[in-house]
Amino acid sequence: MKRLVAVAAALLVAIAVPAFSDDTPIPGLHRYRLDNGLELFVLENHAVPLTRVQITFRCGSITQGPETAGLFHLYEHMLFKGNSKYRTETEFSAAMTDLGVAEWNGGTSTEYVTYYFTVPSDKTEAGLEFWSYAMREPLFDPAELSVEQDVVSNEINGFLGDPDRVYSAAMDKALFGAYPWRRDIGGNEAIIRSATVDTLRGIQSTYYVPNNAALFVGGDVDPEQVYAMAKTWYGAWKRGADPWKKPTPAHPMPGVTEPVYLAYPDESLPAGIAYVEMRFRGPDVITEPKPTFAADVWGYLIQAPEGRFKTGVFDSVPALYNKDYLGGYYYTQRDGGQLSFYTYCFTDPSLPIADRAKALFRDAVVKGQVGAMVSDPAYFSDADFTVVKQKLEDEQIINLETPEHFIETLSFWWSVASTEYFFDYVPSMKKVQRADIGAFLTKFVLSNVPVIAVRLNPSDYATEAGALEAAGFKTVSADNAFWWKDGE
Amino acid sequence: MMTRTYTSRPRAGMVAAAIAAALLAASCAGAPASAPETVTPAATEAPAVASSRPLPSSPVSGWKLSAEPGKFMRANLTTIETRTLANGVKLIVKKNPANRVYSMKVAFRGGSAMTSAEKAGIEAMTLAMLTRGSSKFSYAAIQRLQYELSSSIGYSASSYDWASFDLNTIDKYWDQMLAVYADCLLNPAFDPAQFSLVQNDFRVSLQKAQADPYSYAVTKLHDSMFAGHPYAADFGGSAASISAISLDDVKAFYRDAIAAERMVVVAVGNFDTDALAASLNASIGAVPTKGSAVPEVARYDARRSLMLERFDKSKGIGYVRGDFPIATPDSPDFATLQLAFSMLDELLFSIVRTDHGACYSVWSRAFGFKSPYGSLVVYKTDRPSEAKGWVDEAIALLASGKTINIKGGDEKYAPIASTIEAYKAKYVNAFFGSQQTNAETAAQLASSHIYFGDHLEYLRFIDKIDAISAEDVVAAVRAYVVDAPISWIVVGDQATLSKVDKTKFDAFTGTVE
Repeated sequence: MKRLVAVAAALLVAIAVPAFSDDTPIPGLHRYRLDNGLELFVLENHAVPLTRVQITFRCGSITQGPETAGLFHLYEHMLFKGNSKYRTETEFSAAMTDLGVAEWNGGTSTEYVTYYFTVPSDKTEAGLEFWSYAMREPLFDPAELSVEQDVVSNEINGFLGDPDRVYSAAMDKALFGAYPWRRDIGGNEAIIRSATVDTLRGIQSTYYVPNNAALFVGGDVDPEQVYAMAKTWYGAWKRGADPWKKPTPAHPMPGVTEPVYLAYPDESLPAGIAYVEMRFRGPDVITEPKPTFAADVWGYLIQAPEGRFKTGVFDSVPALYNKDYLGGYYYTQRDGGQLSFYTYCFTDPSLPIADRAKALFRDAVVKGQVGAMVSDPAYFSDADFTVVKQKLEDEQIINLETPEHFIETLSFWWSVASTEYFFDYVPSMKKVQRADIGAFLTKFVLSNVPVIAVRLNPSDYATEAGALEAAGFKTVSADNAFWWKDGE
Repeated sequence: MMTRTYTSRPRAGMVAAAIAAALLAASCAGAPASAPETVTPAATEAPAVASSRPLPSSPVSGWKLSAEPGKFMRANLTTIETRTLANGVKLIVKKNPANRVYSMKVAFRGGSAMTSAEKAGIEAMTLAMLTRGSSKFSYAAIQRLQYELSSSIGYSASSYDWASFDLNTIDKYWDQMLAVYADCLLNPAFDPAQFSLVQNDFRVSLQKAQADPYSYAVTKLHDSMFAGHPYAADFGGSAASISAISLDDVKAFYRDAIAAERMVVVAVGNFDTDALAASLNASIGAVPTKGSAVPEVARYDARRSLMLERFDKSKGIGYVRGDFPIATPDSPDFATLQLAFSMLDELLFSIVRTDHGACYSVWSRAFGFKSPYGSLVVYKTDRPSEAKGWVDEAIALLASGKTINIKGGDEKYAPIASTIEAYKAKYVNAFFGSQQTNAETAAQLASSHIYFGDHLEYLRFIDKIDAISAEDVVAAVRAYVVDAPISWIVVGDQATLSKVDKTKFDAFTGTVE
């Protein structure tokens, strides 16, 4: 629930006492920018003698083409494989052990690549120095690349049988059909094995530049000292050209021109219980920031367990599973915002899943509840809005327990939006009016075209296959879910 | 699905996870025990061979704790108080004024030993039903309060030996949420409609786990390994047991087993201990004793074996796991093995993944259950047999007194004595990282009380690690890991399984110098 964490952390802005920090309205958070463009955020939290260091780059599958899908993930792996100071992965790992690093990893997502580790706070500078070599001067030894191509192939091939990955790939292919590789983090083995050192150097020179990165440091630290350390170890990192100067074309809006219906025989669901989702293309946060605030307030409002949305949908569609597992959300992205409604339901041949997904669930959500949200000013009460504001404040308290949560949140927002968006987030949320929510829903639900999918146990699918096919549902499998298999 | 991220290593945080596993004796994989209908079992199992050698009759580690508690323990001792509630239940309170979160855990000793394999999962189902309505609060009301007050009432059933009923909230809502929590514990509604939903939730969870080849591997391995042992009753239940358990069964379990003699209460937050004890006396302090005996748990019957299990969706990729008995948590050897496995992880990673690119990840763990076991895992490999040999190579290096050379230079390996302090520091930092939230600290206190009879035991963790010598590590690895009676499993598609060289799993293939 990245969104919820993000909202909670961003609320810090709203209730912050600026005296805590010279640089930001967030208590304990300091912001700096080095001359080379590297942004530095330092959060003080002295609860335990540890420092969390995270560095994030704005790249990932968003920057891929059909010939490079998966290579940002491979690159992420290669940063652990040796650099100018620690020549091999073994040396690299050994140095981390020597530093007392207990937790570390890298991650590649659709819109960011991030690396983090936790180090004893008295070794903060040593940790920053250690990491600087990997960020700035990776070796990309061809032999190491070959080994890592094996490793990554094992990783991504293991996903090919993962029901969640198969389903996700099918949904992305349907909703983002123009550029599905921009949603595909893993790619495929052929592309991974096609990578050369030159390929990686190209990624490095384009995206792994300080003006496309942010360094986050949180824990038992002194911000000014960290700033000085960052200047020492990252100050000479050479600025590059702005990789985002020439924007790529946006994914089409709406994502599909006609509704698309998918049915996935899915062994991860027990017989008798199915999952239904209706997904729309949503606003991209950079080009359309305003509706994203309305979307997030709305996302909180419809979570109310006994609220009108859940109750209305649950009562309108027969044999739904449980209101607890019925909901909706908006997922913030700069290149592929999405809006989803979902529910579990019981299967029943007398209540064909095709009808319930295609007509009853869709109508209950779109014509029923969303229509009412737009037309009825009393759909959400003042008390509902008060609860949302209270929840935002509460979640800030909860998220202040550890610096990791805050850093992860800030890193996410820095990547998909901007620092300014993050700092202005709660004030912007507080300005959201019912009309803003209405406008958001009108454009992105009422006037939009969905992909509707059902996941059900293969035995249930066998029973309903004929009806699903007759209703226009295309059957999803591991053989047709991935965009790159289309040409095979 | 909110964010999808591909990571460099699933093992990151593995040390922290291992600590959590060791100290909390948590589950290794949340491994429910049922096969999905679509998976062709087609299992083959090599004849089991009895343990080739007995476990040490006394600790092989020579380290001793100092009489003087270390800095960490001294700093924390003053923050922890205990009281005894009216029904004799111990209340442990750790005061933490650093944040406004309040966490409480009512922990129940016993776990799997309290039930049979046919009723596996009944404690988890019973605790789940406590959240589904009480005499004063309907399920809808509880849900609404949790939403509006940013609080959660839930349960944890992730250990073979204990489970807990949990409350997490914020200081300002404490009184309000405690009233709900206590009523849930004392006066559950046991609504049949809610029971049906809980049962379905468990089915969904089990089915999802069984669609994952690694979880499937753990389940099948433990089904075999724990046959006839109390741990055959997995805490998450099985498809058969969950379907067979009735609401009457749950009511009976609640009536007989939710008893004061199994309970310990832990609270972490900025509490006033006396005020808290007074308020709990009127509620949790009223839970009666029921003569519910907590059975002793013997070791499982270890034997060397190899299972091959088909999982056709896992095309070309195998999952390898081997479990074997180790020292009990109260033995000095257990702490030694925890540190040793941290060293072993580096060797495994360097040899199996870095040198050979033979897997996505590889790791070892020590699980400190009452019947404890260690685990060796090769995760996502296209060469299961070769990987097993490389695992043995890593073990042999450690048993020969070598770790990865973390100080640089031409030599890849270095004597343990030259690296042990760094590994200790790493392990201690992971320990800090595993107790950053109040809920995590509450779990540490409860676990310490349940496994050691002393809630302060976890405060000695750093002192124990500091006391371990290089010789202790070598002795423990040789005694418990080298040539251990490992129960192995390999899960993969038919093509992967057909390539498995069973002889590689027949014996330890490393050479200890």
